[in-house]
Amino acid sequence: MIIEGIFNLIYNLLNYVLLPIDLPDFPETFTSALDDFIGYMEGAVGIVSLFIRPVTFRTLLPLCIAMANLEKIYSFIMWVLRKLPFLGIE
Amino acid sequence: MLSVLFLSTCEVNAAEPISASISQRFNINLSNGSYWGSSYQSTESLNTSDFSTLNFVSSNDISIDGSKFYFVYADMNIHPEITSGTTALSILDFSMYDKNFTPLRFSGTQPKTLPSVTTSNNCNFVLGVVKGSEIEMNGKFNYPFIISGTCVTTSAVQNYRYNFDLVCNGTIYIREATEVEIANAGTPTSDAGTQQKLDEIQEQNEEAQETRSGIFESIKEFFGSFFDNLIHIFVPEDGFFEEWFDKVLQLLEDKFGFLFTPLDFFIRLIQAIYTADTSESAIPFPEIKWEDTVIISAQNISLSDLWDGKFDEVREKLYFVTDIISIFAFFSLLRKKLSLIIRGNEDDN
Repeated sequence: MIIEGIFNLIYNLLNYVLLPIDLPDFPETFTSALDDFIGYMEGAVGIVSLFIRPVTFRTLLPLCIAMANLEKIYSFIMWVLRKLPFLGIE
Repeated sequence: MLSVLFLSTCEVNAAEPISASISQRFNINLSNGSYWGSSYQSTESLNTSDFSTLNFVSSNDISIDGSKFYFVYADMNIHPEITSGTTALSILDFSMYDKNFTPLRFSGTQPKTLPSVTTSNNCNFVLGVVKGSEIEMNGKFNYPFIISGTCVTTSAVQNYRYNFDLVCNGTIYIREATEVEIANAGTPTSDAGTQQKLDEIQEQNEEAQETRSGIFESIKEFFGSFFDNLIHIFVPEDGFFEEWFDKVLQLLEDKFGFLFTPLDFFIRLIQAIYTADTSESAIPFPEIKWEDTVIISAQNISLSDLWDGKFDEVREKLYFVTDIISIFAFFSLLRKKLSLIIRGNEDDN
């Protein structure tokens, strides 16, 4: 209930803040081209899955993305920890 | 008049009896000084060939340990309306049973059987032995019990209702039962007052039982739902986050328009990767069309069909090799990144 309330509050705040913003979409041809590209990517995943087990691929993909950005994640965590004075991390 | 006396060692209880019909089970906890009575209405006119069974079912909750029940005296008088001098009324059998309708044993006699008595006017039965202030039968038995008697007359009489009091030692006392002629034969009845009292007691018992059950149910529900409610305070329901993210994405898409397209594209790309159908060993070819004319329709080229189904076996071996390569590559990347963070460079040494 508490978590739900917080998230709903965030949504309502976001909705309220973004109330005056109303930007147009891309032209229809551009979005349809993106849709086609997404379709090709799905086909590409099918091709990749011929050689790599889909479970392995789907498991390692987010891990590899996290590892590739490990320095940034580490820096962010340390930045948060430094804000806690009782830890004494300089 | 037929009267039945029950005596015991205590003083006479002058309170009103709780009467009830034959074969009706009672849930009465007898306390000291209390008693209950039962009444019976014969179902038919008593003829020579007709038998009317007096069948009293006592409480199955009587819990007076070691109580004695004294059936002392049966004084049966011929009903005044029976004018024939040949009319006789007999108790052919008198037995006592426990709640399972098993005859009670006492003094080696099972069941206790009275001698058949026939009288043209009045007949008295002494079912017990007078000992001082009490008249005791031979047996001591446990409750609940049933009194069963069979009455036979030599001629038809009116219907009767017999009032009985059951006497427990130390608890229930003398109650002289009287026969009351009734109009509607065949239906067990009882005094309106005592029946009302019985109904009230039963109603009170039911209410008390319901109250107790309600309390226990409330406690059970409270503790059962307490932890669920406690968890729900902190943990959202299933699907909440998914629904929330969908709402937020839709809001951002509506508001930011083309600026949201890259993020939307990335999300859809991830979704395409995770939802792509990989169950078949096939290479998908998209549709190729020129304006509204389809040149080549979308199709999947199945490698299994091309290779007589052997590609699935090869693919399993490929999976094994690529799994090992992928995992080693991942741990290699992990080691390099940890080295970069800990040592400040990606040097392995």
